[in-house]
Amino acid sequence: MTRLILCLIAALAAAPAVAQVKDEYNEELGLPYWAPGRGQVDHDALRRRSLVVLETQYSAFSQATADLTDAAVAYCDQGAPRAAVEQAFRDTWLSWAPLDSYQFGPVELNGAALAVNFWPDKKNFVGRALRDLLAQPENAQRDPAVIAAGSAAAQGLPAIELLLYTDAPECPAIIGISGFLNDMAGTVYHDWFDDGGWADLARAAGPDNPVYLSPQEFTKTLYTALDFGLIRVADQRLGRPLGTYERSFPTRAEGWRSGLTAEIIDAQLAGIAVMIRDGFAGDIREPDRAWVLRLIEQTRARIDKIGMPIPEAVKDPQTRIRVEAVRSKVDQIRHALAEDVGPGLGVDTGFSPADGD
Amino acid sequence: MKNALTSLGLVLAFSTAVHAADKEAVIDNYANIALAGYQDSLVQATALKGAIDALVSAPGDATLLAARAAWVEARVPYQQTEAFRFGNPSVDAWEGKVNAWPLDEGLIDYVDPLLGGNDENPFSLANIVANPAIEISGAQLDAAQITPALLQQLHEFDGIEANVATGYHAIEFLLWGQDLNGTDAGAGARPATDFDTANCTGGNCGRRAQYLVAAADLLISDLEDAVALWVDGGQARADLAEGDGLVMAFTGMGSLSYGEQAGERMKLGLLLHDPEEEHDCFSDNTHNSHYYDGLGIRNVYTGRYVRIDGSVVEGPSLYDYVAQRDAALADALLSDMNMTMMALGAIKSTAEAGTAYDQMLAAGNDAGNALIQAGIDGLVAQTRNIERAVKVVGLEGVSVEGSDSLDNESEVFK
Repeated sequence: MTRLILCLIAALAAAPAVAQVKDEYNEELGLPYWAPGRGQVDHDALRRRSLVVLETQYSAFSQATADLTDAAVAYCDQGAPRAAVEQAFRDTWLSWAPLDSYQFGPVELNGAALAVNFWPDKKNFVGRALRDLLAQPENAQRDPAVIAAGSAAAQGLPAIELLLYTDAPECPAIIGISGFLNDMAGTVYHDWFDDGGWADLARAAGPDNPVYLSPQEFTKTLYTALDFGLIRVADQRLGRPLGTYERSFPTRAEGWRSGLTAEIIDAQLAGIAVMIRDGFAGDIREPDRAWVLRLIEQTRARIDKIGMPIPEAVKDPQTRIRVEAVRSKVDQIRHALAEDVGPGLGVDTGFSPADGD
Repeated sequence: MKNALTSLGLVLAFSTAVHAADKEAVIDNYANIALAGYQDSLVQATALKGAIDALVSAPGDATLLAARAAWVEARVPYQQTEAFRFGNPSVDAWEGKVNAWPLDEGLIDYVDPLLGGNDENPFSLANIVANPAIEISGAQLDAAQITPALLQQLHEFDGIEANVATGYHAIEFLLWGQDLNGTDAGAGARPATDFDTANCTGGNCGRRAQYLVAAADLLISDLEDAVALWVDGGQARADLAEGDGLVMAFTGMGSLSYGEQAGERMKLGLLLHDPEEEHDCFSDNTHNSHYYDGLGIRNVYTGRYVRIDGSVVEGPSLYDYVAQRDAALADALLSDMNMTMMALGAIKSTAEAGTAYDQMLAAGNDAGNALIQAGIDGLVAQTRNIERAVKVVGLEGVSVEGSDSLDNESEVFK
């Protein structure tokens, strides 16, 4: 994959490259500020800051998968306590949650979004893929290369969850799967941030760039990604278990077996807030930025106030309204993005994976 | 003077060939192509119904193969209309009746016990063909007569999308049966005797025939509704006039290209290496479904549709409209679509030469995987230029509906 991106970069070699050296700029949080709508948004600065946010998040995910792999080996091979694997599993999922919004570039090219988190699983693909995997010899189950060659449904977090939180024999398959996740996390990180990676592609935005014809197009991609993340939360993470008033679907909630449903949503929202605060930063005018961040805080507070697991809450008319209230707040965040943030940045949402059905 | 007049005539002839891209004329031509596509789909569905009637009145290999051939032919114009789905609210609301997918086919008829169950769907093995009454949430649903009305009632039953009781894929399942070959060669192999009440295989042959006829009748009436949306004065044309017709057209093209076809229909199956995740999984006709989806997108852009009888509907196009504002972009997008069609064409020709789509997506079939990936890459690339085209023609993007009906904290969290 890196090779493909390198080819894309090579295509740019003839064009005058606008080389960006990371140390050239200072912290730009909050300043300088230009009024929106005058074409004075500094898309280069926004990109520099946003890439720092992304690198931090991708790096954290990569580290978490390494820790998970170690924990799985310790548990399966050395009799370490199960709680350590469960903790590492939780940390890994929560470090992935912010990245769910950014399903473009290396994530798209490596099929990482589905491999890491095959969800929603509308036809029990995870269960069937795991049945196939568990039918293989143990030394195959623990081999990340075997996992990589198989179905995406048995490559990621939902597969590990099913193994850890049902009667299925979790060892040694969790070693193979977490090893695969660690490989995938590393691949995505390197495809993004190595020399000639996607970050360099974004830095070289311009008329001859194969993907970003202007710095503004990268801003548009990020802005679309945040909106996509909010759609994922509203329509899928909350909407699927909510179903209708007459018919809720508790086991459609993401992570219902491990009880991580609400925490995953919270972590994704927190990630969106970080991008707005530290990435978009001063290129969104201050009242708008503060307002969106405040809405996100309010949404996270509402998640806290549900007071029970989301799969439980959706079943009862008395409590499902709390989940609906979170969803309506997420819609409000989208509304604020569309009304204030996008116009301020001079961008609109493009197409995203949410556009199908 | 005479010469001058002649050359003026040539110039005029030439300039009418390069259509003047008046916005209303572009949208009108767009709607005319939609109308022709749904009319053609209706014609083919009516022919399919005739073939199905022949099958159930005289079940045999010849009538079964003829019905299958009619189904494949019916898909050609229909798939080309999918470019009209996502941008047009009336069409999107209607579409699920005829092309819902994927389905838990065990709702309809017998399936292999190991292939077809779905923990998420309590009706995934309900088997309407075998059961004249079905218990749903403690109540009995009377399915003694399988009618179009019953199928409408069962469709997406209980809020579960995989409960697909109607449309092309329900009919496909009844004509072919489950494809039990995995990623090996071969499609579904339902015997004609499954419809033969005198020599019945699979049980309940009379009810199976009843189901098939009811589903075909319903497909026709649903397509009649679609035609009605697009005739002069139809709701879809009213929607176009009310909203921004150009943004609707581009939204339909981009949404089908990216989220739906590249993502849900192609990338998902490729990553799973699962033959269940191909669009026409019973008939192994997926290569055609993908190809004609891609062609439908290109039709919309170029403002030109070749009908099932070979006649052509064409006029001022989105391409013309964009070209007047940014010629390089207009050509880049056309070039993207041509590349996509080459990639989808390679999948189609490979399938027609004997390697089916479900074999291409098998784990370890690097060449087949690469063909599918090339199709995905083409669709993703054209989406980028569709976005740019949207911007060039000065259009607003999706609007978001806010809701504050649940914003009273004290009420909700008391």
